[in-house]
Amino acid sequence: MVAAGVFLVARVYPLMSIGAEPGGTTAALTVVTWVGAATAVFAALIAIAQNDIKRILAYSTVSQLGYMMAGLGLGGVAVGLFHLITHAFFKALLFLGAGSVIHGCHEEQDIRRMGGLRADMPLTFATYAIAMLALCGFPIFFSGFWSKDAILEAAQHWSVAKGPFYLLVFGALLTAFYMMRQVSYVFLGYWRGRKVAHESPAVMTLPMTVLAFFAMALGLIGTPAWPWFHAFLDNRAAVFDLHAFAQPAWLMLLATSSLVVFLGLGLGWRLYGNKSPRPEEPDALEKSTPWLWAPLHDRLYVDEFYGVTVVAFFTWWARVADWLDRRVWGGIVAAVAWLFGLWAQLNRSLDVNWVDGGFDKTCEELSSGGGLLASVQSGRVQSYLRILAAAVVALAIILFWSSRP
Amino acid sequence: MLAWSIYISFAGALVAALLPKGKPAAARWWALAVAVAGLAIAIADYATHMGAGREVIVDVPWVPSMGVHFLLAADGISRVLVLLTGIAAVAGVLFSWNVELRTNQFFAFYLALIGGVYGVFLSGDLFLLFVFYEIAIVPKYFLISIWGSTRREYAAMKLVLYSFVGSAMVLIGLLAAYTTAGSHSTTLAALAHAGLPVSFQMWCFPLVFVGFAILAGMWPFHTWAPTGHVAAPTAASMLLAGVVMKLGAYGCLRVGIGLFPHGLDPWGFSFIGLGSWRDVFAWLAVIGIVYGALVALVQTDFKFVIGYSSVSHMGFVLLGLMTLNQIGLDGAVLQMFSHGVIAGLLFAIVGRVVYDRTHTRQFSELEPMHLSRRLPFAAWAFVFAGVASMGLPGFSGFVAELQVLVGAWQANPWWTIVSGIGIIVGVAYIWRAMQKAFFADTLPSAHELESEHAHKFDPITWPEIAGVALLGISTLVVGLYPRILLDSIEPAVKALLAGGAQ
Repeated sequence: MVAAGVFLVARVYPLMSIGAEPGGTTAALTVVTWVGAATAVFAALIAIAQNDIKRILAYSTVSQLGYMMAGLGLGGVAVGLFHLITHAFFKALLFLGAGSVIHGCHEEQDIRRMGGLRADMPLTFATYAIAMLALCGFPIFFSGFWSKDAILEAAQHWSVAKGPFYLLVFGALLTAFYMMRQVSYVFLGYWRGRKVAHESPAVMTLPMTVLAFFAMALGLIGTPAWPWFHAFLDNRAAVFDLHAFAQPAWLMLLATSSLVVFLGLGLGWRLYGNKSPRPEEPDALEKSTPWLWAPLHDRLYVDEFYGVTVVAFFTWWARVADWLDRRVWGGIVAAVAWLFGLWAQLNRSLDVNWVDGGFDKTCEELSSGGGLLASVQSGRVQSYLRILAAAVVALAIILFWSSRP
Repeated sequence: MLAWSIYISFAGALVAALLPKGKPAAARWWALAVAVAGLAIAIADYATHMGAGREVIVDVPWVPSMGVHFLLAADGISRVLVLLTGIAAVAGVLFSWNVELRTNQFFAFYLALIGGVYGVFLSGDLFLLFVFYEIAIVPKYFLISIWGSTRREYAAMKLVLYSFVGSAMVLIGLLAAYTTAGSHSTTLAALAHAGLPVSFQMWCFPLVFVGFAILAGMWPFHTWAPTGHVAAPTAASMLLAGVVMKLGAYGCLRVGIGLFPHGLDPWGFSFIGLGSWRDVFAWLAVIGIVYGALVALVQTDFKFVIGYSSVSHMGFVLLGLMTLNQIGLDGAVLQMFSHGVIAGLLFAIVGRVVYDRTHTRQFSELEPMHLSRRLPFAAWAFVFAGVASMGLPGFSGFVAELQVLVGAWQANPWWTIVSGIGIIVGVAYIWRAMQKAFFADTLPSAHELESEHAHKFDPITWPEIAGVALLGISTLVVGLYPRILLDSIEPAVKALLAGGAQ
């Protein structure tokens, strides 16, 4: 699945190589190359100091993805994808083998609690060894050798810099070293686990055998003598030419990469071969060079780096935004509501004191005026008659007055 | 035919209110029948008008002295949103099947709200649109304040006040446009062709746009949305996120951009890099996308996560509108549909399937409940809705947000780049919620197992399964075959852009 990224780069390779001279390169491809080569070494370093059988393989995969990327940047689609395909087979085999080992060791994943499985799980050991040698790039008989050599060859002829070549060669050394370490811990020496291990059933070993065949044979489609895969991608027929093996440059490369592989395997054997340290005992590398072991064992602090940068950044901003929502925006809403409440209070007091006050005043006036009138309605006939008489007199005067000529 | 979706919803609301109080089952089945009828009308009309242009359905003078028409019309955008309303309405009834308190009144308000929403999407007259828009606000208040939960009266009042402030702004803009255009007619077509002066559009556009955008959850006028969603009963929060927020976005598009296209023209000067109202609202949308996602990342209440995710996803709609190009606007309309379906599904799972059984929405209390084992249906449904929400290819959100981002890149690449942060955080908050609520990595102790066995959750009921299926299939179909909606949206957007360009 992780190879999807490599495939993506292969797909956009035409875009990345726009403007490249024949045999030349572009800025994009240079970046791909350097990132790939750096990844190959970086992840291989981490893989050296891990104790979980699958974690070693996982970092090994990252390292090999680096090789594929470098292959794409250096030699083009055919080189990168060839390694992708061979790697798919032997890495699948390694993971199946690891699964078989874990199953056989009763769900144990710590390589320090294994050992001596060579005898207990012979079929798993045989296939695992094939895959391991393919991954290391053991010469001639294993597919990984051919695909990795194609990458190294392209690196050697790269016009821009020699750095990636040295990085990739160093990576190959590390690969051979960590795989030898793992195999020594798991299959060589003597058993250090709790319950006795057992070989896995055929349903697990049969697929491993099939994959083991391809881990060896698949190199045949991409040798310099018969580069069928390259020709297939270019949509042309492959030419069979044994003389390609006789070229001095290729022989030189063969010698170099063989030397590196043997050196890596030899170093691994020297430090770990048949030693079978007890699980509590520190690793051989830890004993000799603790300053190197500690950062590698802690995976070069990549996870911690992301923890204090990306994760911390987003967490902090998320808290700020949450605080803004609760305090600032919520506060503004509350403040606006409070202001309107205040305004309403003001209006109410205006109503109570002025509008209602005025109304009440009017009513009071009216009622006191009514009281004045009411005193007239006393019910005494004499006073009514007195008012009546006064009114008649007043009326007579008005009539008399108004009817004057 | 489409007009009947409005009529039957209001008639259905009236009948529901008159149904006897003591028989909740009758009210439920009645509401389901009305909602299904509305959906059937929407589907039938959509199927027969795929890719058709604007069509006037009803046109009768309503207030002749003012030139107000009862004018219902539909184009591709309206049809898609009517379809969404139909789907959301049926799903909402299904997820309200366990409402026992005053069931008949609940569904009466519910159907009245649906009727108002149908009305807004089909109005061809600005005044009529405004009337339906107001009608949709009132039932929301009652649904939240009577049947809601957490701080329901506060939330309901907040929501209604926000809505009315927005409406007031829209009303001022509406009256100003009507008088400036010569007081002849309030139909959208007549106002669009009235040749409103550019200087007038310059101040009227932001007024109307903000007025509508408040209901679309535009930052920083979004705070009603999370509290409102959380307080609302499940069906109401589904409708709130599903269709009511779309009313705002639809108003922004149909009225804001449709009537005042020159309001988006450059000012002629620039202030801190902003040279037009378009820049202002696009950046507010972008801020909303990132901000909503970030706030969702640190919530302790499950429903608040979904509430803030709505703010974030509606930001895409507003951003799509501000791209002013074909692909961005297509994406905006598609995102309205997509978010309506997905947010509805998320709220249904959180509010109905989970909350009604666990009676808590706090992650700290959900974590020790091992819900993935005890409510596998809820866990599956939430994973499905969650990956749809984070925009995985194959779901409608991917097609919609991709189009918005492409359109935004054409307009201003920085909009796309900053929004990208929102998408990354979007994956993170869904993942976090998923893990905390369903997949907490602890094995139950023997004691816990015993008590879980003693207090089994109620089994999942058929309306829940039907509702999840309806919404889930909708997002999946549109995600796998987006042309089913885009064929209708594209010509309508093209016509709108052409109308605006003149």
